[in-house]
Amino acid sequence: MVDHFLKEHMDGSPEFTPEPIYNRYGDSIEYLSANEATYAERVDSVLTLYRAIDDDRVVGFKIKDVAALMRELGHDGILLGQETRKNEIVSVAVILFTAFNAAQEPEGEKDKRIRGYLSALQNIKSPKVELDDICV
Amino acid sequence: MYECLTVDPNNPAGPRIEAFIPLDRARQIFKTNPIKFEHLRCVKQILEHPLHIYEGIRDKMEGGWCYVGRPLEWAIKEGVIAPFPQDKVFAVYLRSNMTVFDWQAEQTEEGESSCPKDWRQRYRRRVWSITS
Repeated sequence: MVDHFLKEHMDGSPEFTPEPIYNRYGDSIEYLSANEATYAERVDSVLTLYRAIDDDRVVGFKIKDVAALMRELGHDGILLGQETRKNEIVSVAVILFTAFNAAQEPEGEKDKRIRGYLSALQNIKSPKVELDDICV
Repeated sequence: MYECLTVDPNNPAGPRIEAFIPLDRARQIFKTNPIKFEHLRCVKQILEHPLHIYEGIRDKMEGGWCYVGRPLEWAIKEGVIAPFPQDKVFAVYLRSNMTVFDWQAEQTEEGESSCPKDWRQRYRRRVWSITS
């Protein structure tokens, strides 16, 4: 295969680390428990599940709009710059619960949403995420 | 930032503009999910050859774009390349300043095999298609 176009900008070897990560550009928490191709299945405006491309099993999820969820949890003081609270450790389960309550969805989707959130909770092996650059 | 040229969503008929892939975001993925890192090849391909561009991608995000296309092939496991599935599209998400923040395969809309599922509910509007 042709070398990856970003190879020269990367250090060391690629690693698979099944831990939740905070994507500061997308203000989302992402978690993948398998190093394989996935497709996204939107549960609601906040939660997206990742399913394995070859057998459709749930192998991860993404929680969007984390800054707003953190405000829901009372973390008003987390700011960029000098006032950033570094290495904030937050339970992903708590964020998922807050997301379930915060997402605005039409009536009739509740059962589907509950199944989606349960799938996310059952999938995660590392229950906490480090929020080191969150901007509220 | 890595720069690549793409269709200007504000002026699709005009000259191409730069989109940016943050290197720290790429490194984050390199060190956590190598297959998703491999899919940055698809990101580059879709930005260079999009089929559709949508705007208004999230309620709580000012602006933002979704570029959608279908790569010919992609990595499915370590060292395994396969044809990209016909029943999926590849979506690249950018902030309003053209910074790429996410990328993923998605299910397709029924009857619109080159569009992501539920695009009418998820995005404010489609701003450009390759056929438009």
